[in-house]
Amino acid sequence: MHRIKFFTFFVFILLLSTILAAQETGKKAADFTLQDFSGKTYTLSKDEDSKAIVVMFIATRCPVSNAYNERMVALYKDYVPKGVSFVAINSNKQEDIEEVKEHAEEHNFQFRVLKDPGNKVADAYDAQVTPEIYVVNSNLELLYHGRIDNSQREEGVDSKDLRNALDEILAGKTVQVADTKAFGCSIKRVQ
Amino acid sequence: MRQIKGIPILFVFILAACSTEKGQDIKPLADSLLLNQKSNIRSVRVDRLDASRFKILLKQHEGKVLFINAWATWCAPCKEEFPDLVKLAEEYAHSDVAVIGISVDYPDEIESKIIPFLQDQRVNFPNFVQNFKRPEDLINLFNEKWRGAVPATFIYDKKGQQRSFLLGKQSYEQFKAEIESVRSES
Repeated sequence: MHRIKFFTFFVFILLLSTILAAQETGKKAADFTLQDFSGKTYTLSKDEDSKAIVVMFIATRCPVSNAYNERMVALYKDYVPKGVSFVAINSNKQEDIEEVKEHAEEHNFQFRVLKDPGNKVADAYDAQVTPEIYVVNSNLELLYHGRIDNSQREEGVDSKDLRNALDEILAGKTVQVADTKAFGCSIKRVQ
Repeated sequence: MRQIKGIPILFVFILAACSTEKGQDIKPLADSLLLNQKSNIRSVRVDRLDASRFKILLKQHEGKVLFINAWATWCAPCKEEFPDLVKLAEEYAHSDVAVIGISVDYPDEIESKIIPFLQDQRVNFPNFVQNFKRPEDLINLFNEKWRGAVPATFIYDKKGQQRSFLLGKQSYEQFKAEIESVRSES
């Protein structure tokens, strides 16, 4: 009798741990469709040929986000040839589409910059700051979330977290540090 | 028991008299604001804040409610709420509530940006600038739920325990209510 009870308890623990593990590792990112500043529509789930998709919440006026403009351009240049795609999202209520366009042109962004009216995508992703990064695969499984690196000033960087994650994804490895703390300006949401 | 209580206070004074690792003197907070009587312009000093300096700061304010506001010269909402901080500091002067500001700008911007801003605001409370190598070191020191976005306000009770974390711009009334809530619990 005791043996049966113990076995039932063991199976219960095993099942519970499987469920918990599935919630942590199998997180699915929300699909979204947004327009860029030229009116072109982008749907995350249609970006199915990419080995990884880097979703970057950015801003036009945030000094922290702006400190990463050149680094984002460099990431794009380095990883697009390897099969990674990049898409930026502006969810700030006070930064309109014209401002987003001017900012993208001024900083030579070659990646799409999408406007997120009503910060619906930021809410779906629970993105809080700019810059904040989410990397997903073509099945929209979340592979990395957090910062680009660990210093707003480039000379202080000693942990290139996003590059490390992308290198591991491209090598078919599990991302070792899949969750880092994004820091920056808060996303200014509609009330 | 009285002797034991006296030891940490003595320790704080010893630490306050020492220099930091970088040779920077830790001077009493009162020195950070000097009113130049002739010109009537406040001479503002901004010290660098690292983990050890923060520990000392908490010790120095044991017995007081400590209201810490993290701000930046580039942050519009921080600038908007700053006059309310000045008002609160004036209101709680010589009381059991201390107001302290921490700029998340860079230490090399003290002279060019931070001090001019503080002078412009006619600041009446001590201010520091973050001096951490990694942003997460600053963030985790204050609150692990914080993402470094400013303004952010942290209120510590009289025992040095954080009791309130307010993210984003707050009104004077919100600040006041939160201070009084922590004050009544202490």
